[in-house]
Amino acid sequence: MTRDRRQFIRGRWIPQTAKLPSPGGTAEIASILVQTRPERLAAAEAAIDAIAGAEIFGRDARGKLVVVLEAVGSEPIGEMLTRISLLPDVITATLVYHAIDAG
Amino acid sequence: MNKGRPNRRDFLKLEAAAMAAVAGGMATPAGAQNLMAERPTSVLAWDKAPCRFCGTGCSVMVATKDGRVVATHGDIKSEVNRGLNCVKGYFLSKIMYGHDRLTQPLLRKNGGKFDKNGEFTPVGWDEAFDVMAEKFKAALRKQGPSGVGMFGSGQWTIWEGYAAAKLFKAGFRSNNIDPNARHCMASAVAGFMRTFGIDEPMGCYDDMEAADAFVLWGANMAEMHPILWTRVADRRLSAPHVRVAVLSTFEQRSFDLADLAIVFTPQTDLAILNAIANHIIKTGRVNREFVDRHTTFKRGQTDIGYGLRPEHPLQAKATGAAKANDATDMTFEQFAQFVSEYTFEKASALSGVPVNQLQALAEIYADPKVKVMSFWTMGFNQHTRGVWCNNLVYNLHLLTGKIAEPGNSPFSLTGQPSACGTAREVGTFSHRLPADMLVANKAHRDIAERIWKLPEGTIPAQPGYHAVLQSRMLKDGKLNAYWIQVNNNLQAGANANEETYPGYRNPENFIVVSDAYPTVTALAADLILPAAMWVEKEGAYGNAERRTQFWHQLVEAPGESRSDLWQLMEFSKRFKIEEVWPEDLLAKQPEYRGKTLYEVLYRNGQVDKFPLSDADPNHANQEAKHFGFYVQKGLFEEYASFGRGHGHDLAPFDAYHEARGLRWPVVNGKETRWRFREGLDPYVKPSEGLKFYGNPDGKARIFALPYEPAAEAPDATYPFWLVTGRVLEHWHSGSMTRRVPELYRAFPEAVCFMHPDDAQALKLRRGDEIKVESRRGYIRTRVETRGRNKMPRGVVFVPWFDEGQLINRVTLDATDPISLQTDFKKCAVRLALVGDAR
Repeated sequence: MTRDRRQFIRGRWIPQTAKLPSPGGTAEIASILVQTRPERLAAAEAAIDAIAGAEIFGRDARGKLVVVLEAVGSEPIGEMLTRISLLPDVITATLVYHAIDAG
Repeated sequence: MNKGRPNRRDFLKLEAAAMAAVAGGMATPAGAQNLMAERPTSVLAWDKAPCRFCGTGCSVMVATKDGRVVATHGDIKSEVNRGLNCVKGYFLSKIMYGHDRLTQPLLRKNGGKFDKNGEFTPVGWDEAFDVMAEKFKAALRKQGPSGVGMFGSGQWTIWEGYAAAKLFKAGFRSNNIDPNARHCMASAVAGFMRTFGIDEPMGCYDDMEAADAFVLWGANMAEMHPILWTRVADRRLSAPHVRVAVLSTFEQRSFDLADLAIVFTPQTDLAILNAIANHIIKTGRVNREFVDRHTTFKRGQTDIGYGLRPEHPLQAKATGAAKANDATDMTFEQFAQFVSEYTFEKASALSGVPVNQLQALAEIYADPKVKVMSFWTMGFNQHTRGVWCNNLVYNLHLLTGKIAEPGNSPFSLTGQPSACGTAREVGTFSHRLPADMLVANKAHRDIAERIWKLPEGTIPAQPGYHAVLQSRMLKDGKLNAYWIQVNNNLQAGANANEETYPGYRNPENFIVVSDAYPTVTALAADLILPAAMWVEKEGAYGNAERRTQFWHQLVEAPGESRSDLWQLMEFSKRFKIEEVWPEDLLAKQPEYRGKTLYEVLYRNGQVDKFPLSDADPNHANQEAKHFGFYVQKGLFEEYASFGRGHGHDLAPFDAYHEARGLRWPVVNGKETRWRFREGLDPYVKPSEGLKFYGNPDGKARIFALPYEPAAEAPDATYPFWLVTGRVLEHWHSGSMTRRVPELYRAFPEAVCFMHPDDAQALKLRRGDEIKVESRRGYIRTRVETRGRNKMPRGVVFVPWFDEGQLINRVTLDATDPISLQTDFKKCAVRLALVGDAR
């Protein structure tokens, strides 16, 4: 773990371990609440539906969706959540519940 | 979902959906109600804890199983987040379990002995503290108290920050302790102190449901404060008359909700703020009754410099640098005259914002019927005129009387979980003491010495080295023993190439870093101490709305890692009072002779007042068990005695383990949501109406302050503004979030966001590797012309989470001369393609 000035200047400081997967490799479940503009609800719903592992459990015409995310060896929940947050019709996507299910 | 008896996974999904529906105020999803009745006996133990990321202060329910955190959900009983939790909450179950978690002290050694150029070698705590104490004692002998220092954090728990401040200011008699909140909140603090004489917002989050308009001054709440943004969005979408204005130096995610989207040239917020004040005056919308009764006018010192080293040409020519915080009295008429030059046309010419947009923005403040909430964070605070920005936004709320009542609220957001609770309230800054008191004030030192049972003259009167000065003094060899806890300053501090890194590697210095992970700062140190984090210890944080929140220890820290509190108190045992105090001071309190700092500071009959048996028998408490008394309660109660009866009242310790936090001042068991207003704040007496009691005359200050240029601006050689900041996926330097592999993958490396036309003009394509270079250093990164941040021409944005692309090797260590906070948002760079093959 020696680091010298040369490495510092060249930016070669990345701990390689940060790239390793989490220990355990267990399944995860999360629920999120999504806000959209009411007139964009259907579009947001369609975009979320298209994401594998995302399931819509509730909708409110005022512009809200309850989405459950399930990751079983596919795209991790963190990535799905970020992806949904950045969808064009999504104003906010906030986590409510998250569990690592060891089965 | 299968049709028969639900399986375990279906049950979990329905439970998760039901919780989200409740949090969203929606109908429970079909089937969930029946399922909930069939809930299997849970093997999970649930406890509350505040989130350990940003300053919002969300309460989270945390489930443990077999000694590990396995699930979290937003706490429905919390008034802050009402069952919600942002993406960072997702990290909470994972941040403690990264592969490279540090579990034992590591000392650089060669041939079995400490060597600054040696390899990190595992050692026991005894050896670690032996070497560290020897180095601290050598620095004290060589330089006196100014030879030792500490850089702490707004992520310290309240008692950790308190124990650290006491160890340095009273024990080592050195004020060279500063929190990383200096990089984050110092301008907000100085803004509050100059305008109101007391720190922290007068309003609270409840203002969001009462406001008719929101103005974001340089803040990107959608990515940085998502839960508060959810509340703003809820208000905007459920009440059609509500308006949202977003100002930024580039278009970011918060613009999605904006009714008024304003992109301005860096530094010109000063001119825009003054133009709004001018508009309020010119259109006769000043609330004269309010202004006459509750405010006075001040002309602030100008030409105050840029907080650079004294020999820097910009610093040498600043005529007001030595008296940056000074101000003289003026009248309302003189103030009106002062701002009259800031017409919309002038502000528009400086800022690049069209006049009609400025007009619409000004009307939000000027219209007496519109209740307005202003938000800001780093856009204002990380600014060489950051204190001025804070003062100028208060001007707008004061001129119109839109303050200290539900919905009318200038609100300074915070970036760290206890920037307020620890860094500010405990007084871990180099110039502060608890409860807003100052080391330079004799009466304040007297109070602290009395509470701490110390002889008169123990606490030095001279403010210590602040964050940026610490780096400079390390480089110059004046500060020789240095302890860093809960922060990653080599990555976070500006101008790392010229100041921070040379200081850490200076052979005269011994650098200690306490952290949970091997950050770049830890790797540049001489001794690494493994730290316990979050629910591995009992803790307390204070959020941006004055809410103090507690949690219990829920799991054990791995290996030999120990909390910062344990480290501080255990280290203090290594010093006899004779080794740190001069004879004349000791002669005033001879009963301390022969005692250790641990005995004088922490076994003083107050900190050790509460027995181990007072601690909750259902939760572990490593520190209490180790030291033999309820350490956290003793430290908290001693600390709380500073503020009780002086407008900073905290509730009794035990109340916080029950409540979902309480907003100070807590008087007679009641929290305070809005300060300064009769009926809402117990410190305002009947018939006083409104009183800004932080200032002796009960009035707030309206400041006349001009537009002054940035320390460095683009020119022919370095033609782009460089702005740094954060992204949604990573928190600050990424030392925790980059340990969560899928988030690492989601945003693996920093990029340089730029306008496609700028890229084209330089013949750059998206994904090209480029050098971003300033007068101080460069990094290599890749061009990004799409994505969430849309840059105007001439401005580039590089996030700072990536230790492989340390953008702070490029930034300038210019600071606000009043708050001494660095401006990370403005310096000049040039861009060049690496290995140009075309």
